[in-house]
Amino acid sequence: MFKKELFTQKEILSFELRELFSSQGYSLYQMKTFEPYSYYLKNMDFLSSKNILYFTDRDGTLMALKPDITLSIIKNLDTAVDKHKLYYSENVYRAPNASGNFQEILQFGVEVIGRLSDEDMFSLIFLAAISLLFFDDQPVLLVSDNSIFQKLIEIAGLGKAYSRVFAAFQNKNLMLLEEILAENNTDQKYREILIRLLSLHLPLKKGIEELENLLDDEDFSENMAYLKGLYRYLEDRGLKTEVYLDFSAPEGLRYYDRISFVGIIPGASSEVLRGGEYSNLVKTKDASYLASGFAIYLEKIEDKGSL
Amino acid sequence: MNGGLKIALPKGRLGQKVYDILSKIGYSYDEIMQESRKLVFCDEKNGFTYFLVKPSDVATYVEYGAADIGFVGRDILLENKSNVYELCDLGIGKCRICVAGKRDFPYHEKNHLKVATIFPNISRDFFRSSGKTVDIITLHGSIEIAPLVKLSDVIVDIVETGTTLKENNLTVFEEIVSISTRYIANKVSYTYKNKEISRILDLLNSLKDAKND
Repeated sequence: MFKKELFTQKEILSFELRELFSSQGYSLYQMKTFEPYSYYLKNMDFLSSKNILYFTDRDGTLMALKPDITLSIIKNLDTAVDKHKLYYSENVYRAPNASGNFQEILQFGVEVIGRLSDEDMFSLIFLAAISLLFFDDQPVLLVSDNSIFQKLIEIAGLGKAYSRVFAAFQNKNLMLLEEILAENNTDQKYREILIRLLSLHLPLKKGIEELENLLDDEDFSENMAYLKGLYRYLEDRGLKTEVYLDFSAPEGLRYYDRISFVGIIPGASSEVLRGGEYSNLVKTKDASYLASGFAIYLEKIEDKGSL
Repeated sequence: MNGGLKIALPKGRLGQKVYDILSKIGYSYDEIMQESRKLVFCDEKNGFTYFLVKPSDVATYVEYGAADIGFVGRDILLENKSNVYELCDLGIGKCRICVAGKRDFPYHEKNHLKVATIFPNISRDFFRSSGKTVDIITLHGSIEIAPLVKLSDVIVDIVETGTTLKENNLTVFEEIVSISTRYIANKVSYTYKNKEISRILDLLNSLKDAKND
């Protein structure tokens, strides 16, 4: 029997989470140390950091040293299998950052990939929400629907200003959004919707009600049905984690193509969990595949303790 | 989360202006503006803790959660690409970040420039989008001297009235961005202390509306 006091808080949390994931039918994915650099180069848009460490193999092939787990999982998927439920706990490596240091980062996360139902997608968000309870008893999951955001930008004719609108949402910067809307002569209807959406920060149920009032046309009926399905799924399982609808949550909007979420706990300076649906990425592997996943930042545990 | 709101206030002239605004919305705490070397102040009545910090450090305190909210110039937010919520424009500390240089310098004809600035990131982003290649020389003050002593072709600096430029025989070639002081919040605090942070936001907006009427 292991003595708990011999382990750090981070190690204990890692064991507890691995136990949770495997109890939910997820199995451990182990990544190869070196993989062809060309694969990561092709999928650079989906990498959070472009600072890949690579070496020349004896035959002249450029090999990357563990740059990212999710991309590695997708690369090695067996598409004959209908559903992959995987978790991982691996160190990844980055070439020197702005301060000139090589980096070793622990990536800890969960992915569900395959021919998935809405229920499969919701169950992953539920798993993310209950994982947060291992960090703190008052966690909050901030949920956003990026497909709504992207559709709105398109309909409002703001495609060219996409990055700036995204930056305004990310920082709830109303001044910047108003500037962009004025520059683009945006229709009054979409102007009001975008402004309200930027400051939206409501418990999921209230948030969906508010969204339904804002987005009353048919273009968004599928999105609304999906969000309501998510709410019902979480509610039926008596989820204790608070869930808020907030469109400032996602950082990788182009990566996450439908729901995305971040998990926060009191006292940490930033999120301790981040994830979302990234089906566009796996469709390159198999058109019938969908995907969703999240990563947990265990290093933020120390961060929390210092406050 | 620890109770009460932790507020990062900029020291100096901007701090005085911010404090005046806080007083106007009902949050005065006179000890802050009294001459002393104290840097932390506890306003028990309102449940606020104030930190007096260097203006350029306010966003860092907020981003890393040492403070829940703060008041900072947009120049600092743009330069540091701070990951904070930018909730409201206080309408004070208004000025512009501009490209300036000697009157006789053919700025518009040059494709490559030596640029002296305290804003290397803002400058790099601006010239990248304008198609000019640049060498950035980072300085920490008295930027106006750089073109005069041929350290650089142009400068990227804050211009308030333009008097300093004029006195040094310099002129503005191009405006990059207009700046003013912003009310910012830490992204996690925004959820856990939403009531207090939103209340201050509402009061600041009401004050602005009253001013505009």
